Amino acid sequence: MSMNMAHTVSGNIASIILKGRFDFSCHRDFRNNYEEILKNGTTIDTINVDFKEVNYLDSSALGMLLLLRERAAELKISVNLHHVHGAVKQVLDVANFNRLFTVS
Amino acid sequence: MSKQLTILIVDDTPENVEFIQRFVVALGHIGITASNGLEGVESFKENSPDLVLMDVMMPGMDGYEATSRIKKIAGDKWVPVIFLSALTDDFDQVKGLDMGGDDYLTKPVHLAVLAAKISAMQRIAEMQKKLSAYAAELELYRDNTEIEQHLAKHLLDRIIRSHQTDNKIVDSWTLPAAHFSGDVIVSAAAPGNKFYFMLADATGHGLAAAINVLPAIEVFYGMTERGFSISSVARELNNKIKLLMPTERFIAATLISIDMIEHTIEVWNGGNPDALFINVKGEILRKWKSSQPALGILSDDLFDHQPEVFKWTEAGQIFLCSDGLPEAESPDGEVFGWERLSGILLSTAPSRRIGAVTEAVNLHLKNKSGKDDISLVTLNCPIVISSNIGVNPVSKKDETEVAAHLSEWKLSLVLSAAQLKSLDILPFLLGWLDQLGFTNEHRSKIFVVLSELFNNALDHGILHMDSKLKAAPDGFEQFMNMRAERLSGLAEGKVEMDLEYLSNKRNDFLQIHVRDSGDGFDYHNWMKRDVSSEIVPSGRGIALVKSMCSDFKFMGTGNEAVALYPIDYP
Repeated sequence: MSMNMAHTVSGNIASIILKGRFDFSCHRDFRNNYEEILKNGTTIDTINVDFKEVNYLDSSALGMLLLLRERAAELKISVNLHHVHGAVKQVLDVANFNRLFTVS
Repeated sequence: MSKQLTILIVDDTPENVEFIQRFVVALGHIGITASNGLEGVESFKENSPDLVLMDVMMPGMDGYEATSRIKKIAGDKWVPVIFLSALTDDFDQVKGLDMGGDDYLTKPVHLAVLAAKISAMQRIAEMQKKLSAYAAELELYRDNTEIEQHLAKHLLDRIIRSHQTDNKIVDSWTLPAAHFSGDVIVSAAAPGNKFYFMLADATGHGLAAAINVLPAIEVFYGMTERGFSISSVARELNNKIKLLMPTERFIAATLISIDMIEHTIEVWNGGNPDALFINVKGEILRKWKSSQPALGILSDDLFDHQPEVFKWTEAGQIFLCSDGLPEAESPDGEVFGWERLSGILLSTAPSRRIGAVTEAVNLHLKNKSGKDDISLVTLNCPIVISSNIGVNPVSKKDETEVAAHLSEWKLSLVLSAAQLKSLDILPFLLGWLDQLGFTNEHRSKIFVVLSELFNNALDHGILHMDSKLKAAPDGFEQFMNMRAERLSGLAEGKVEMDLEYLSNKRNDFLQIHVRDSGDGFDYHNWMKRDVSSEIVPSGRGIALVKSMCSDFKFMGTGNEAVALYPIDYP
């Protein structure tokens, strides 16, 4: 598996922690993770996606983030992208995702 | 679990054969026999048994050789072979299994064990059959998918080829990934001597990518032909893709409009790597970064469709590429990278740039293809001397002659601030002209005249822009930015346009009358200047209009312009 994924919830903030390559093969896992979180959507107002240990991001990953954004928006939950760096930051910059998420 | 098997028994001792055969039949299976290796192989070929019980020591061909041949004949189908051997050593058992046998029983055979082994082999064989069936189905799906991929790419190529015309402007190279990965390069001539270009990179691969990008291509060609601004094209593309495609699919695109005569470039870049303007020496004079998300993501109210403009004052090339290029990974995992690319571009002559980068990429990838399409494009932007406009002035008519013409039809349009701000007026008018049957030659010239007069009215009469600003270095960009700002904040103002078709069945005219609500200007002195001999940033337009029309004049306070465009019957 090229990616490890886990999520935690603390109060009204949920976090999805990604490790490794964020690409098409992560599609199902990513969706399972956020759907789990959104099951308790009424108690959550923020989802942070942590990229600290992500070394690769492609356009299918961007697509997955867009899906998450749409689902979260239905429940008025905001999505933030945290700890982006290196190649990942570059891809997000060119994609101007800072217009769609709070990126840090 | 009582499916009847056909079991082949191979042994050179007749008593053994008979003994095993009787047992096998008692278990409910069919037993066929062979008395040596060669016979065993022949029998296997003829009868296709489900299981083989093979003696090892036989004269002529032994059990190992026979098993090896039988396995070859069985091919993809798994037929278990159980050795029945008098050789009891572990060594012999290992040898038997190494030589291709699936199990090994020592003689004298314990019948209960044999029965159990046969059942076990049967279970495994069933499982194997299921897996084979799955594999075959998968093959079928894969083959179908291959066919669909090719079809999608075929359609895409055909659509593009049907629209493309030869031009000396675009030079490009694409290295497709194993499956089409969404890169598309299209260009077309737009009315008013403009050249439009788009490099699109759709998400996905194969069929998905092709489907994603097809509507975008049709919109590009359609709107370009009708004279829409690149800004309108970007906006329409965004809306269409957002509407038609699922959320996770988008198209990174670089849209470019080039005016070869005015030497101006408008670029809209959403999601693609930087586009560069490089001069002959290799210096980068302008960079266009991706300043917004790709097409199909933002809703219309948040979408910024303003392009960035640039006016070139020395010859150069626009260079662009899809992200497949800098991200191209060599077999040992190294990316091609921007530094390497910049290095090549800056140290190579313009005509050799595509070739040089192509060579470098192939070297880097060791002549394999990448995971993503790789596209590179250069657009040539030479310096064109514009004084050859007005070389063939149209013969002038005098007013009394024209007055003898009847008005066949008249189109009047009054546009106030709200429309001036939000509508793309010129394609709208051009659309009417198309409906009214103007041919290609007239169509593009009339478009130029309409364009000049309308833009003059808007720029000077309504937005109070000063053309002198364009003469300063970077002035053109500043002018365009200020114009866009003033236009978006426009509260008052009116532009009226009348198009009237005057005919006497021998020679016809299209009279174009534009009036703006501004203060006008002192046109009497201005008209006395001979602008065709100067390279004037602002006066060129009127010179062009005069060269294409039988008559042109300003009226009123200078806030009205009337042009008479001739349409001669042969």
